Amino acid sequence: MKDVVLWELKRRRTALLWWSIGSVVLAVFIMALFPSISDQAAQLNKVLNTLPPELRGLKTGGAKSVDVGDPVEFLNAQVFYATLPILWIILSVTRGAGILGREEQSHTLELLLARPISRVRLLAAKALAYTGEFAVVCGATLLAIVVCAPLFELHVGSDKLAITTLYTALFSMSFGYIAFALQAASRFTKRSATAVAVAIGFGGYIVASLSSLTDWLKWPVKFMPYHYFVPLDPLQGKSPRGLLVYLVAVFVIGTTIALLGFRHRDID
Amino acid sequence: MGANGAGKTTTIRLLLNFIQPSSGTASIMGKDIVKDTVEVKKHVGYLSGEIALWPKVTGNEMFAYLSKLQSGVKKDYLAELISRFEAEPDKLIGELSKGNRQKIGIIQALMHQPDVLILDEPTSGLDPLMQEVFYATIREASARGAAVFVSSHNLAEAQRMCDRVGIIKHGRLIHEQAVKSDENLAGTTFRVVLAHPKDAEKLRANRALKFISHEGHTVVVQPKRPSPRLSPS
Repeated sequence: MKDVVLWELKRRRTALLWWSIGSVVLAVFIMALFPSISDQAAQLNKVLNTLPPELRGLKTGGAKSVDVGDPVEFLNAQVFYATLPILWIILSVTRGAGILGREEQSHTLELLLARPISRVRLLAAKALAYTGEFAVVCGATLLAIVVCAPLFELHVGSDKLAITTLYTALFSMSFGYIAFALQAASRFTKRSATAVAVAIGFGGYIVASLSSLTDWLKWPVKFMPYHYFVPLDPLQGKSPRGLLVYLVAVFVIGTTIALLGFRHRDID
Repeated sequence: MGANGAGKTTTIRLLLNFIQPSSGTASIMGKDIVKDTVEVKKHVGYLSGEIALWPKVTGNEMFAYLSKLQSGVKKDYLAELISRFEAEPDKLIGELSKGNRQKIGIIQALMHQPDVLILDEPTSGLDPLMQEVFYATIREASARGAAVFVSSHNLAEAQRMCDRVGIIKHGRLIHEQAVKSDENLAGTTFRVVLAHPKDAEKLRANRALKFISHEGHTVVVQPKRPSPRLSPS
């Protein structure tokens, strides 16, 4: 199993390096804007809070008002709610659907399954490799956030920054895991699994952002993962219980479905 | 052996548990191909008909990786195979020609000296000289005691490699027989078109003929001994 994981990481090393650089640069760039934004916070808040609530909600996680001069609210709205998850969801869905799907599509999966390795072990190795790839990118970003935040007057505890980055990473990873489980369990192609995961991820983002402003969305939003993603909670030291339940559910159900399906299905 | 779509590749993919049987059982070395598939694959070397390899790695990197997943690879034997097939293991696989990719595929199937070789149209893409090298290597494996299970639609090739030939049609084994190297299999099978389908029973009753199949007006038979009165269809 270790050999499959190392093989995947080795093959992806260049892509991982670029993803890590991109993610770090984006996070640091946004944080670097904070000193100049906080100087003009009063005017910016005034402008931002006069925007139509639908537009404001997309950037603030549905919050009805926002104070961009506050480090916690700035990090919540500008870094953790949208920017990093969107970037990481793209990575996670691409890899989640591809780590097994691409091998099956190109028929190299047969080379592995012709060896004495059980499907369950192969699946576990692929899931670990996917987690490892994601951990490299998110770990580099976490380090950059914790190191650079104080440099840009974002005085939030390192532990809170670390835990919020971790939750954001797990939340983003969950969509890739949905794609991975769908692809492993059934004969979903890489493209179909990606489409479903993206619809759940980004569709959920839009619905969750607009839900506090539109009554008829209040019920369906409960089925959207983004509804449970409130990075403000861990930044303020609160436990994100809803998010934890969602994450456990996705990883347990996803793993069960993937294992049951992949063990007995035909390989294309 | 069988025509395109007869079920040769499907049979092989079933044996390797890539696809699940809807009914029936099969075993390799006494092990069930579904329940004991991991155990079975310790003894099997497989070459797929449409060879698919990782294009962005070199042959050497691939051999190293697969050697970690399958025990029994001896460096000396691997080096010998590379030299014998004149493979180019230092180049990226994606940069190799079809024939050279096929050589890499053959080597990965043989490198652990498996007890059972399952090869789906193995000489596809190889030039005639390399085909000879391949036949020699297969004969060696066979002499070592390995069972070689090959799919092909090339009768001459089957005769060079096999002790027995089975003919598959619409997913069913319709005929199986031993092969003698001096016997021309192609000349002993006859397709007879009958004026009246009921005449098939007369052919079936003929002890000099082996009755192979019957569909409508067409009957396929094989004389048990070559007959000068029949000409090959």
